[in-house]
Amino acid sequence: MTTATAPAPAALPSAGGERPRNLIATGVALTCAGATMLFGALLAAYVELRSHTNEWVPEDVELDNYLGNMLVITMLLGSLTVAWSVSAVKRGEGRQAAAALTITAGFGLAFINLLSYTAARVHISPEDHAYGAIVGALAIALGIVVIAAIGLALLTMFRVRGSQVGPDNPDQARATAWLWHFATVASIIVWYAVIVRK
Amino acid sequence: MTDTARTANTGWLTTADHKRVGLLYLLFSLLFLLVGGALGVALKAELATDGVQIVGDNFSRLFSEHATVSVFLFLAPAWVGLASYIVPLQIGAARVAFPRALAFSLWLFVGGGGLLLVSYMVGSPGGTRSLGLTSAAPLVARRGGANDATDLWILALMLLSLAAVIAAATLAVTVLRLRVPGLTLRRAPMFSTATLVTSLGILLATPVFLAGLLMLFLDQHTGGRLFLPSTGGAPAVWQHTLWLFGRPEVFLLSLPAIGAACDIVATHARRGFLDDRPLQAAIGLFGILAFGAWWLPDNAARALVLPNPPVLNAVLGGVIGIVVLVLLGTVVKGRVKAHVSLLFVVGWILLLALAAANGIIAALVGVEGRAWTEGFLHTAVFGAPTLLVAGAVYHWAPKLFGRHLHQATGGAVFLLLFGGFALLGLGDFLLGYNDAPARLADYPPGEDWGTFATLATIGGVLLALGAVLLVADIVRALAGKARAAEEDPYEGLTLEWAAASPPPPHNFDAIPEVRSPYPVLDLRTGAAK
Repeated sequence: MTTATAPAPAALPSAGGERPRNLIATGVALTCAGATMLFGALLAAYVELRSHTNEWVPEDVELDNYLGNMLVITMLLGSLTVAWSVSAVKRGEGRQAAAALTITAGFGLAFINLLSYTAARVHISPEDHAYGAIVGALAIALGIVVIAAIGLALLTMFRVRGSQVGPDNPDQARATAWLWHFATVASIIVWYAVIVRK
Repeated sequence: MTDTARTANTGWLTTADHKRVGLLYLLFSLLFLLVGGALGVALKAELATDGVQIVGDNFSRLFSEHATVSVFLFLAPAWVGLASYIVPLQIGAARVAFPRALAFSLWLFVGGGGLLLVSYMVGSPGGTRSLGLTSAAPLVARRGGANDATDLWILALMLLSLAAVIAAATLAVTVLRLRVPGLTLRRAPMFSTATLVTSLGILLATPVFLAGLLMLFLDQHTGGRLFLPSTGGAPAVWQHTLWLFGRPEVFLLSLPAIGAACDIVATHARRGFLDDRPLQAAIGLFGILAFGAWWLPDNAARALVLPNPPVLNAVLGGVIGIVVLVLLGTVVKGRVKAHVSLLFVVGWILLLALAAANGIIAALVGVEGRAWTEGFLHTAVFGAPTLLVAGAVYHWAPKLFGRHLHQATGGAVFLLLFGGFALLGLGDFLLGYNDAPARLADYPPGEDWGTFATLATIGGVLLALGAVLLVADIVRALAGKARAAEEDPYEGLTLEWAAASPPPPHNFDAIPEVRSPYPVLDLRTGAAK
């Protein structure tokens, strides 16, 4: 038995050409813009609170330039290694890229460790004064951004090892570098506000 | 339960399909609307006439809960839900940019919403007289640390803010990067354009609120070290973070409504816009002006929503006026086929006109921070966009549910919602002009505000009925009892009408080619060849 063939539904012609990429890099760029607003709000609060008191920094706080400088240097070293990883990905050196990303994550962990050590060493406690509370808020925000950067670095490392990130698709490696550079710039600005300008 | 049914149910919980995530966002937000609406009715019933005691000493707590639930758990996530579902279809994408991130944001929203409700159940965040986000004053820090309700409240708002940021980033990248070849930003549908601008605004404004919440948490656990002047803190820090977030937010919630109104009108007028350039400019300008609302920082300490400066009001009114004029021209030149969603667009314009007229009056007589503020919130900030959420659901129902919602029921929903918001707003405005303060549990003796208060109460009851009817109509469609929808029931213009109703998991069988803002119209008229 034959059945009447229904007319084919109108279909739009298929489009050609490459699909646009850079999804992760665009997402990270937008997230960094949002994070800039977060740090901007916290730094504005720092300046506002500082204007409300004559005793800034409080007497019981012993700011340590050495530890502050080491925090920034650690992040800068991470920026170097993450840039190395992007270069390696573009050259198709997967093992080298994975090593660079692992070292970058290591610098991140060192930063978190040093941040918690610094907080204990300089006797900053949020319960004691407004200074302690706002510096604590800045440290928490910085820690969260660095932890996110570590997570993305490790994820990218695994994807490099799994050949999902490579010379033809370096988007995620580039995005990882952007997030890391953002964390470095944020740490430098916080260091300048809290350690240098006080 | 069969294995297939069990798998299907699990599929909804673990899904990363933008359509399912969008639908879940929408359904949960409607559930929270019913909660917020019920609270609103109870509060307005308390104020209906002198001496009524329904919520009693809980007025402040429930007022805070009503406002927070309505905005954070209904209006914002309802737009996220609609955008998550519709935008990828409008731009010819098979998915959103980060499907798992969007799904993660959904469950953050649901978890945060649940925690927010629990926080109000276990106590009163910030103390019994605290008004939460409805007042610019920070929560009162207690000696010995925060109570459980306060901790849960802050955590819930952090989760909700994080969900908003993740969803905004996902939707922005989707529009920026996943448009089908040929669909330039200039050719993108208005709802997608509005979603992009809104998402960028949310991405910039919400992190400021997150910073404020982080400081509020520390403040609450340190006896007020950050916000209490007696301990070296500054309340202005909280007020300004809330202001910097809240002022743009109240405008950004209206932006998707503009985009939805444009697409609804063009679709049912069955022709392209008279001119789409002013519309895109208006959407972009509205997004920028949302941040222009940072103007008047000196008022930050008094209230979150105040009458705008007259110049800003005039510019905002001009922007909306341009949109309305282009839409009117499109209708006049088009071949309009009646659809209930057009009623919601008309209601949206009328509510904005009501708010604008009262904005002008407020500027002339100098009303600030009184019951007038609630009238502005109930009409322009919450009412008009909510009306358009309902209109958008009726318009895109064939894609959302694969079925048409009932047109007559839609008409009733419109009458109840529009009438409700108009009466509620009018009552509040009149109370404001008669010097009634906002957020008041009982009227002082001797004040003759009963008529206006009763007007507002009747409006609240109508709104609640409208919300229940809307949810009932959606449930009916989800249960498969509504009329099945064809692929392109309206002779649509944009790409969502080229997908099946409801669309398959991959949305389109072929990636369509686009050479104008109206590819489906081109296909019908043969212009795509």
